[in-house]
Parts: sequence; structure tokens; C-alpha cells
Amino acid sequence: MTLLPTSPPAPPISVGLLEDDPILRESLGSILQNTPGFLPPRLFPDVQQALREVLRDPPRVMVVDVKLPGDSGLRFIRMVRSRLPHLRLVVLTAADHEDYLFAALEAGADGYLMKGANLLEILEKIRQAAAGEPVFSGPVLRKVLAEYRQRVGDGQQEVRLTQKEDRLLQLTDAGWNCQAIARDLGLSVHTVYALNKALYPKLRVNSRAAAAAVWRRLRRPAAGLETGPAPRPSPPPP
Amino acid sequence: MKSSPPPRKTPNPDGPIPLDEWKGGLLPAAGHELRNRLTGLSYAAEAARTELEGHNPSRALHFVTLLQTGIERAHQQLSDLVTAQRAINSGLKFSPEWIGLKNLAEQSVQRFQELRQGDRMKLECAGDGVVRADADLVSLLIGHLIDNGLRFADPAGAVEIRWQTTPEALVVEVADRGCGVPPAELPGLFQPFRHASNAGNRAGLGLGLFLARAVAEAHGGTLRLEPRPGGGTVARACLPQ
Repeated sequence: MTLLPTSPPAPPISVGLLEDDPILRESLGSILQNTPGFLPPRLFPDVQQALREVLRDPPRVMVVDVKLPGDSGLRFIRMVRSRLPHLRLVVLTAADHEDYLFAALEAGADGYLMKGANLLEILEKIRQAAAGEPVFSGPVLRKVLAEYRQRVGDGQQEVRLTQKEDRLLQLTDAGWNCQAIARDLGLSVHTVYALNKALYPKLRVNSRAAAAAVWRRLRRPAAGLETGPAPRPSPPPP
Repeated sequence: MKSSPPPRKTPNPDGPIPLDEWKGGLLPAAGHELRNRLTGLSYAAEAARTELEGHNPSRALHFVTLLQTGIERAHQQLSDLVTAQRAINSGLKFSPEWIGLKNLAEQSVQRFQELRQGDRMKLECAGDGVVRADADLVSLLIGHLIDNGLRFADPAGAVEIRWQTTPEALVVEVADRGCGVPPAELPGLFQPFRHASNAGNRAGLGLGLFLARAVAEAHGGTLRLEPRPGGGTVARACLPQ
């Protein structure tokens, strides 16, 4: 009796993992190494090393912790995406609200996974990403849908910013603290806090970092594959 | 749009820390870090299990050690979070007593000896006699300063801890030979969750310096950070007697 022809097994998946927390990095590395279907993963503790090695020899899937110091996870995605259009870039994050979701998608991520999700699910999603599918954790997908509905409901209304709000967000994005921004705008720091608070519902965010990310998106509506940073004001004062 | 920076004003290094932002609670800002840590622990447990199943006990043991360190760290962070919130809401509970300087110095670095970091610390005690201080709070202060020093020094680099009494004050200095901090950022580092721009992935939860300063202030004293000549940072706590 002959065996029925079957499709050849998928080649093992090479994964790169950019994660600054050593326990997470090593543990996930070991789990991938011991999971059938994966090659021993390459582990990167910081963006510099990951950029150097991934650009030289890209893995099939790159898993990126997006909340690295100074938003460098997003920068990494943007830079790698422009140079390696076929690399599968998947965000793995512990953010409890999906602050970075749209910023990551805009930067060119192919998926957005929450660290809290079941490990088996995460491994399965990495497999799907390797096969070319966009991958999202359940709650993330709901968020995308909700955001879409809200935009449709709003009649795609543009967010209108006053000149003050625009400047405030620009400086927030450049890393200025509230005191420095208050001095720049000639306002009291309490007014700046109040302006920030009023901006949150307008931009549908709940942190200054997220507000800055949305501002960047608004300023550069077609920024999907751009690599250069937005024009920046001077660095933050002391 | 104008983009000139605001006029530079030398901030008062001992000026009050702006805390209005944190009246509503520190927990939301700490949520990401704590969640990340817990996820790391659950992955480490899973890694230990898979290594055991693969009959690799030494690798499994490695992940158990990671788990223990991580849990210890999570305990510390949780306790810092609670203490910091208490400091913001009602101030730290301050119970000073008369303590021998040598005793106080040794007690304060005990934890690091237990964590096998003792050989990276150089302890120096000048002057003797007794000082008036809250031993638990001073231990919290010195613990965070040493922790920062060890974190930012080279992996093998030492952290120097100097204790000194003068008739007016107890002065404690913790000096490292780490990457240093851009001087302009030094005064701002006492704010909760503020990290130096060059901290990279060595940054912790971000409450250590805030707590250390709160302890100094509970003693009616000051805590300052200064660049160390030759590289690194010196933290100097001055507790009046």
C-alpha cells in the first residue's frame, strides 16, 4: 500500500526577537527553541544590535517589543520596513491599552500581539505571520473594529487642533515636559495639564505618549512607509 | 510655527517635585512595567517546564533562578509603588532613633550582600558615634542609590558608598563610574517614572530616586545628584543632625 501524497512539511521558521527585558527574552527564546517548526531564535536586547544583524541577515519573522526606551521599537519597525519589505514584523507588547497599535501599524507592522495572551496562541500567530497573514490578538482586533466604526460614525471627521494644542503636542512629541511646554506657551503648568486632559477625549487616547503618537499620525497622513522622522523642534530644555 | 526653545532657567535643585499629575495614583503608570514583569515570569515558568520535558535539568534550573530573581524584583517594585503613593498622599512615616553609624551603614547594605552583589560595593565609614535617623527609611534611601549605581555602572564596576558625620549632618554619598547623566536632566530625575535619556534598557520602575529624595526630606535634609569628575554620577544625601 502506498502512502497518499501529502504536501511537504513547511520549512522551520526563523524568528528574531527584539526584547529588552532579559527574562522575557531568554524565556521566549527557550520556548521557541523547544517548539517544533521553529529554528533556534535569534535574540536581540537592543535596537542597535537588532538593526545591524537583521539588515544583514533577516529572519522570516521579527517579533518586536514596541515599548522600548524612547519609542525606539517603533523607529526600528519603520526603518526595517522600508528596507526589508518582505520581512514579517510582529509587535509583541504588554501595553494594557492599545496605545501603540495604530502607531505600529502606521510604521509598517504586520501584526500586533498582546503579551498577556496564551503562549500557544502567540506561537500559532507567529506561524501564521510567517505564512504571510496579518495577525492580531483578539482584544486588539476588537479595538481596530471599534476605531473603524467610530471613524465611520464620525463621518471621517478630521480632528481640529488649535494652534496652541498643535504646539503643545509637537513639544510633547519632542519629549518636553509639562513645565517646559508651559514656559514655551506662556501658560501656567496647570493650564497645560488641563489642555492635555481636554485633548485626550478629542484624540481618543489616555496618555501624553499616545497623544503625541496620534499627533504624529495627523501631521503625516501618508506616512505609512516613510523613514525619516517628522520635523522636530529643539531638544527639551532642562 | 515658532520652534525656539523656552528661555533657559536654572532650576532649583532642591525645588519641590511637581506631583499634581500623580494625585490620582501611580498605579496606571506602573501598570505596563508590572504587567511586563509578570508576563516574563509566566514565560520563564513555561520555559522551565519545556526544558524539564526535554530532559535538560540544568537549563530548567537556570529558568527557576530567573523566576526567583524576577519574583524578588516584583516584590520590591510593588513595595516601592505602595511607599511612593503613601509619600505623595500623606508623607512617609518618620520614626528617628539614635543608631551607631557603623551599624546603620552595615544594615543598609545587607540586602545587596544577600543578593551576592556585595563584592561590587566599597564601603567607607568616616567618623563614628551615633546618628539620629530612621533606620528603615535610610536603608530604603541607600538601597535605591546603590541599586541605581549597580545598574548603571559597568557590569563589573564598583559602587562606592561613603558615610560621614559632621557636627551638623550625616552625609552619605554613593558614587558610580557609569555612563553618567546629561547634567541638564539631573534635577528632573527625582520625578516619578522619569528616566535619564541615556538609561536605555537599564531603567527600572522609575521610583527609586523619588523615594530616596522623599526619605532625605523626611529627615529635613536634601538629596542631590552631580556628575562625577572622571565619569559617572555621585548621589549625596545630607541629613541634618
